[in-house]
Amino acid sequence: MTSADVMASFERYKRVGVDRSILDPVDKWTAPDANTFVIALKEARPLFIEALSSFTVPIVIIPAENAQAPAQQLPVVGTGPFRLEEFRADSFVKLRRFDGYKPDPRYTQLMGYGGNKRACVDTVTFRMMTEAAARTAALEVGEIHAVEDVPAASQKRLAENKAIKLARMETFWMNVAYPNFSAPPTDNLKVRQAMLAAMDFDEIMDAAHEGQYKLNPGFQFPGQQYFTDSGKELLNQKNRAKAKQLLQEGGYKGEKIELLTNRDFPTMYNTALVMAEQLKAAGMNAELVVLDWPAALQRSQKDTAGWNVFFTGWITVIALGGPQTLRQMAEPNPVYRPKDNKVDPAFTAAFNEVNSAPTLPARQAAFARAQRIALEQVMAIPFGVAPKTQAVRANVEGYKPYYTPRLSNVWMTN
Amino acid sequence: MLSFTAKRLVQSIPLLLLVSLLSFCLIKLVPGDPAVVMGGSNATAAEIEAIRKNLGLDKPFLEQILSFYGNLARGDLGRSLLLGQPVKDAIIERLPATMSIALYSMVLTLVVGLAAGVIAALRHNTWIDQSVMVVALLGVSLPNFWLGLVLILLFSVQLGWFPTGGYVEPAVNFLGWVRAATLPAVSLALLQIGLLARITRSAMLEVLRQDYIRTARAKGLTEFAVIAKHAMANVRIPVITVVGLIFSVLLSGSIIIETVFSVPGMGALLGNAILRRDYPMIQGGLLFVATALMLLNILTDVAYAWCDPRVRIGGGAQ
Repeated sequence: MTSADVMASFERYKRVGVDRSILDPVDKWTAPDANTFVIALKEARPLFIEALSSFTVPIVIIPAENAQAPAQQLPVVGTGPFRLEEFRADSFVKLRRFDGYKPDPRYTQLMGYGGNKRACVDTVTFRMMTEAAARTAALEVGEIHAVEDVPAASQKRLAENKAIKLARMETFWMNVAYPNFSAPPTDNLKVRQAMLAAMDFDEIMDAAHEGQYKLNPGFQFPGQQYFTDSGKELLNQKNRAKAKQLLQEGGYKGEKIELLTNRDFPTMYNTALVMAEQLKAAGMNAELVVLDWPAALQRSQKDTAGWNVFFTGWITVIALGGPQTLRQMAEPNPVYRPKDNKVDPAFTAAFNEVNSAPTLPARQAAFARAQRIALEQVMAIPFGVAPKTQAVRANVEGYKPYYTPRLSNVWMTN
Repeated sequence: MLSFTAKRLVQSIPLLLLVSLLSFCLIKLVPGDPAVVMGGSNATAAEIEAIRKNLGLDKPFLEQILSFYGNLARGDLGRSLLLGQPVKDAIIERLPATMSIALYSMVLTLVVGLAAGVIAALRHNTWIDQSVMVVALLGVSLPNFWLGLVLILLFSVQLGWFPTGGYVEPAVNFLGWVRAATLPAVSLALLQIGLLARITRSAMLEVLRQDYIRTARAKGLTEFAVIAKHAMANVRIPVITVVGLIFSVLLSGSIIIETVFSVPGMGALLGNAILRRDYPMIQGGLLFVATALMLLNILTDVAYAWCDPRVRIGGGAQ
């Protein structure tokens, strides 16, 4: 690998990458020699490196000759401590230890998906097992050694099994809904605020996550750099009287409020179901619109009509920190679809400051301001957070739960 | 017999054309621009244009349909967006898993369903009859995905007799295939066994009341000869009707069962294609499955004709 491969990879990502806007601040890049790659920015961007390192911007370095491959048709090349042995897109991926790999000596252990990585097993096979009960059963009988996602219903049984160890990531999925600012009646701020005032988040989270949840006062989790509870009084209000008052002030006349959800993710469906009942109890004409997940997502992204509230889960968005989270609500592609995609100027100012203020305290203060505005305007509703439970066989050592399974530095005992 | 078969094949051509037309129109029925849908939310205008060009959507309608049938005539079903390989190759790769499990399931259905139905009819109104019918009713009532999960818990987790899922090619390891395919095949078969047992029992009861059965018994034939030679000959027709239907249900049921048992077959392939909006794959898969079912129906008709000369005479060999 040389800097020519790095440059070709960056150029390809700028052309077809999913999160390519991350490269917008780049003025130019150069490769003065085979081992050096230099990026020059148009202006000071304290968070550029942080954004670039995020795993939603996987600028994986590929051979320069593959750089012209169309989006989603890149030839697969193994990398890191494992090399690719076999791959079937809808079935499995098999990796084998790559003896030519040298772990990064600057670190002593894994950091996210980087750090010091070692292959401690000969092969790793990732099998696609979409049926949760079947993959849990496969773990119980020892056909597989780790499971990425254990459903709540199976956790008690597995916890009692001495051959299995559960590994839980406490803050994984933020249950989120966002209103559509372009479609009536949610184009009306008072109606959106009435919705927020009417809801009991405990009831919603309990139904959505089978009792495994925590309420969360904002768009970041406690312990994260940008965590703040600014605006928390606007969440979980459970105040129907206030909701009715706001509806009256907003001139709400019983127009239909369409909650766009899906059954592919029971969490989202249950959230919508309980929310609909709570809105009805506060005098709103709420109705579920149930599509499959791709169709629902498509409608929320492409249409400004046919939905008033969309349900989703933010995982990596939250994990990547405050600035990345705010990007969901900022121009150019705010998820809540404001008219002409124009975002509240005060929010935009706060968002820009989060990205450009030279000191962390200044950026944190700007984030708190942005969060308050987002909640006041009801740009997105963070109901709470649910954990993710993974599991491994008892003889698997070194496994640490993460967003997706990491099998470097993991070994097996007899 | 040959002319009957030929006539049925010729009659199926308009239906095949209709199915292929529906398959072609599938992509036109996508709300909005299919290229935008396939490109996803992050696709650039150039990428969407590339998808449009790749699918031939930039051409006039007539040219598109001629090109579609031209490709079809060459056996080209397009290229899967998700798998990055020709649809035809993807189907050929995954078909053996689905077919082998469906056939295994069919054998189980025929052996157990026919035997249970005949025994229930011969022991009419006894506890054996009642028991067979209760089990058959249960089989018909249970959803196969639920049954699949229960079988996994019982036979894989508790007893350890079978693996929880996966697939082994029979040519590579036949015993491994039997172990891997048994639970999916049984999950698929149980519902059909119930159905076939009920139909067989009912047909057999009807036949056993006929005069020629009484005559056969009066001639002094053994009970086995009466049942196997005389009764079964007339039970075959309704049973063949059901068997044709059953095989098509086994194939369509594979979408759920292959998901439960992680079998890399046609069902899982089509299920994923639908979830991921891989339209060329859905189109090709639909066309393939529809053609296969049509051939199956022809096979059923031919089996009728083979069993019952009246069908041949009335249906085609005049």
